[in-house]
Amino acid sequence: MQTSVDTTLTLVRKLNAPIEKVFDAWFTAEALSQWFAPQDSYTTIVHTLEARHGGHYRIEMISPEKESYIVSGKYLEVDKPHKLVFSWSWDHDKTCDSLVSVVLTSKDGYTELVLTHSGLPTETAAQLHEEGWTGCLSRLPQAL
Amino acid sequence: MVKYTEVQLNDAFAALADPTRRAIIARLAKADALVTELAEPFAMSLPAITKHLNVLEQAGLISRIKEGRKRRCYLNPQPLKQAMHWLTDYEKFWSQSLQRLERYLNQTK
Repeated sequence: MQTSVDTTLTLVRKLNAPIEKVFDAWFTAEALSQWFAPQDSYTTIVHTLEARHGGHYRIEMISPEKESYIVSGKYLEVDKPHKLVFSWSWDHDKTCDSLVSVVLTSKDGYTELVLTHSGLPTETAAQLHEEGWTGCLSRLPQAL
Repeated sequence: MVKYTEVQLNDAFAALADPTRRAIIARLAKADALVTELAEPFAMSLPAITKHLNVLEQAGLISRIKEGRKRRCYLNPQPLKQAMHWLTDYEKFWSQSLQRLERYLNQTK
């Protein structure tokens, strides 16, 4: 039996900054290292950020307990300063491979950010083993 | 602000929009059952019940396993659970990261 689970998460935020600045915050190593982390107690190191279409990124997040979580991927769509699409893959668990898109729109006095995280590829029922999934998921909160 | 556009969730809810199928799920939640046993309380033909079981199976809510010439049905709540877990965890991850992004943007004005 084939079961495909397409999971899509969408978050919308109003940001009080010009669209170019918000885009750069996603697309420069210096800026990303300052905010891209689930908690203040984490240290973020941007190892690679090839700011172009087809370029790769590799970001390490280090917990206060010195545990390292590395996410990497490739920029699949770059439409500065409106849209950025990249693949998303944790080093520690490839079953979490997915896709992230960030769409920015300049509004009256603010920038609207729409983040979509989708396409977790869990194609077969066999892959839907609780073990694999909860492994992937249980490690995530530790990173938070 | 989280919007769930979840194919599996949609399939599951669509499958559960029918009273017969809800009754089948309720019955399987108590214990697994043979297809013939499931058909009994509904006074339905086997082909009719099989149609309902196909919908439930396609939505990932049940599994059927052959036992000789018979087929046994099991409830399979994992697809729903897993989808929910995934959404919850990444929602947390991104919410907190985006909060930091907001702070970063304000600080570097």
